[in-house]
Amino acid sequence: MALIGQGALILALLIAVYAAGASLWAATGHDRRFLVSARHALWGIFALVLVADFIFLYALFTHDFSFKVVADTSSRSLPTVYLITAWWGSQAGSLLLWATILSAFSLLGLRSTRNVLGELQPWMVMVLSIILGFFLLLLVVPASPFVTQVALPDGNGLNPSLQNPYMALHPPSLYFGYVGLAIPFSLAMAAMLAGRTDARWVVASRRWTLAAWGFLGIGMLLGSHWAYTEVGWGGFWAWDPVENAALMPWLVATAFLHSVMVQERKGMLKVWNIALIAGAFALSIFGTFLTRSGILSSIHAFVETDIGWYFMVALAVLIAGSFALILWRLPLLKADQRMESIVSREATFLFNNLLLVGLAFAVLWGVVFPLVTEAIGQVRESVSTPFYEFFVIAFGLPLLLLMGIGPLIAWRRASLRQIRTTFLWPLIGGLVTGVVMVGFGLDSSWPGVAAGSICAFVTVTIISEFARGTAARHRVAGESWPIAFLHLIDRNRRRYGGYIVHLGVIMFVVGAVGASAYQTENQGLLKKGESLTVGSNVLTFEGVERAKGPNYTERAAILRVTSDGEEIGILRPAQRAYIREQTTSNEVAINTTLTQGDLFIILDGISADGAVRIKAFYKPVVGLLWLAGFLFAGGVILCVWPDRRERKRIAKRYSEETLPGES
Amino acid sequence: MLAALILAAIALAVVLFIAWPLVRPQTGADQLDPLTEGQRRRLALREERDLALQAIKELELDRSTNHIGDQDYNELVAEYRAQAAKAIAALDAEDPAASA
Repeated sequence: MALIGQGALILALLIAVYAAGASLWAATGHDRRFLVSARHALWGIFALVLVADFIFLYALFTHDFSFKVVADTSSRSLPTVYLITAWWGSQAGSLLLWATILSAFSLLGLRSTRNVLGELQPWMVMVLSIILGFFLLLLVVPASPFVTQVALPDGNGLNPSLQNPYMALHPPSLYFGYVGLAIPFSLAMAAMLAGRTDARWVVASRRWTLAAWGFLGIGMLLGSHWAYTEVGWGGFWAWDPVENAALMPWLVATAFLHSVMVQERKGMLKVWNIALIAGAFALSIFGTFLTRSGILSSIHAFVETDIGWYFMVALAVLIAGSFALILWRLPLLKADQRMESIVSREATFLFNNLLLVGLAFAVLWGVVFPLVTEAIGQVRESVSTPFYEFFVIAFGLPLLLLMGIGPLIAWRRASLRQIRTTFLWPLIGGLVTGVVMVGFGLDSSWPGVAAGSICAFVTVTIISEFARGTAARHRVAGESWPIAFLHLIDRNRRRYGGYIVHLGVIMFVVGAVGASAYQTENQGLLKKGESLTVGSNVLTFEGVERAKGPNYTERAAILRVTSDGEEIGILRPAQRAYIREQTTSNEVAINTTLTQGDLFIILDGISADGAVRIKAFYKPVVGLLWLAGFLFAGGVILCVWPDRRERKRIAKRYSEETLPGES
Repeated sequence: MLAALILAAIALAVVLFIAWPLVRPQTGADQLDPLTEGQRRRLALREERDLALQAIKELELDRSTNHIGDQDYNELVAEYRAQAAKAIAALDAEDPAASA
C-alpha cells in the first residue's frame, strides 16, 4: 500500500516537472498540443494525488500502524470523526492536503478563467505546475506520509486540543485560503511573463482572490472559536505565530482587494497590485513554513529538519522571481491616469492600503523578532500582546474610520457641499454613541469608546448607503421598496456585498472590544458550598462529578449560577485526562446569552481536599464575534456569486483572442 | 508485486493520457498564434470602452445617491462619454462587427 502511495507521489512530481516544461514550450514555441498535454498533466497530477489520499486515509481508518504518520497521530480509541482531523494533524498529512487542494484548484482555476486567459494560459499552467512540483517534492523527500515501520499494536493518539469539531473545519478553511491565493498569484505572474499587463489578469483573479480571502477570514474565525472554547485560557486570539501566519496574508489580500478596484477603474497602482498579490502568496507560503518547519519551537529545531530549508529556498525564489518580473515589466506597468484629489475614493483606498500593509509588517516583525534575536544572540526574546495591541489600535482605528469614509466619497473628486450632506448622519451617529458610552461609564477604556464611536459612524454610513440606493431605485425605476432593495444589491453585488462584509467586520470589532476592553474576571479556591462573584453572576461550588469518555476520564466542578438572585442553571467546567495521549485538557463551561454576553468558567485545578480553583470571566457582547462570521461569509458569497451579465460582457470583450477550442 | 502492478497500470494510464495530444494526428488548430498588433489594439480599445461605460454607471449611482453634485457629475460624465465614444468609433473604424 505504501509503495503505491509513494509511487503515485513520485510520478505526480515527475509529471509536474513535465507540465512546467511543456507549458513553457507551448508559450514560447506557440504549440497548442503541448498546452493541451500540460493541462492533461494537471489532471494526471490530481488523479495521482487522489490515489495517495485514498491510501493515506485507508491506513488511518484501518489503524495501519505500520505507517509512521498514522501511528504518530491516531490510536484505536480515537473517535472516527477525529480520524479525519488526524489527516492534517501531522506535517506530512497537512502537506498532502495542500497538494490535494492545489491540484484541484489548479484545474478549477483554469476552467473558471478559460474565457479570459488567452495568451496567459500556458504561463499560468507553468506557474501552477512549479508550485505543485514544490509541494510534491516535499511529500516525496523530506515529509513523506508513506514512511513505514514495524507495525505497532496501537498509535500515540491525537493531540487532545485537536479533538474538537472545529478542527474538522478550521484547518481546511485556512488551507483553502492559503492555496486559493496561488491562483491570483499564478495569473499575476503569467501576465508578467506574457507581457500582458492589461486588465485581463485582474478580471480573471478577482473572484479567486475574494474566495481565498473569505476562506482565510472564516478559517481564522473558526480558529478563534476553537481557541475560545477548547484551549481554555479565556480569550479568542493570543497573537500566536500560527494565528499570525493566517492574519498576515489576509491583511495583504484585503489591501489587494481594495487597490485592485483603483486599477480597474483608473488604471493606477499596477505595480503595487502585482506586489501585493505576490506578497500575499509569499506570506501564505511563509505561514505554511512557520507552522511546518519546526522553526517556531526553536531555530535549532529548524536547522535539524530538512523541510525548513526547502521552504527557505522556495520563498527566496518566489520573492526574487516576483521582484525580477516586476522590474522587467516596469515599462508596461505605468499608470494610465494620475490621482486628481486627495479627497476621493481612490485616495481612501490608498490610505487603507498603507495602513493594512503597515499592520501586516508590524505583525510580521512580531513573528520574526524571536527568530532574529535567537539567531543573533542565542537567546529567544519575543514581543507580547501589548506590542500587537498598540499596532492594532494605532492602525486599526484609522482603518475602521476609512471604512466609513470611503463609501461616502465619490471616485476622482468630492465637493465640500456633498461631503457635508453625506457625512452628517454618520457623524451624528458616531458622536451620540461616544457620548452614550461615556454616560454608561464605559470610559474605562478610551480606545474602546473610540472604537464604539467609529463603529457607529461606519454602521450609519452603510445603512444610509443601502437606504439612499434603494430610495434612488424606487424613485427612478418606480420599483416597490423591497424590489428596489433587492435589485440594488443584485445589480451592484460587488459594492453592496462589500458593504455587508464591512458590517460583519464592524460586528466583529464590537464583539472583540466588548470581550477584551470591558470584560470582568475573578478567580478563587472554592470549597463545597463556597461562592465566587463575577459581574452580576454568583457561582456556588456544589461538588465534583466524574465521568468516562471513549478515550479519556473527566472530572467536572458542579457550579450553580445565579444572577441578581435569579437561578441561571448548572455549569460544569472540567478537566480531561487522555489515557493514550498521556495529557490533560481544560473543558471550559460557557453560558451564552445574546443580550448579556458570556459567562466563561475555567476549572484550573482540583486540590487533594476536594477544593477547586475556578477562574471566571464575564464577557459582554462576545457573541457578536461569532455572528459576524455569518455576515462576513454572506457578503463574500454575494461578491463571488457568478453574475451572468458580467460574464457575458467579459466574454464579449475577450472573445477575439480566446484560444482555439477554449470558449 | 500486486502493488507494483497496480502502480504500473496507473502510471501507464496517466502517461498515455498526457501523451495523447502529442501523438494524435495533427490538426490545423495546433498553432498557438500570438496576438497580432491589430488584435492587441482592438482589445485595448474594448477595455477602454468598458472602463468608460462602467465609470458612467458608477457615476449615475453616485449621482442618484447624492455622493456627487450636478456640476461634477455633468463634467465627469461628459468626459467618460467622450472616452467611450472615441473607443467605439476607433473599433468601428477597424472592424464594424467587433464593436457591436
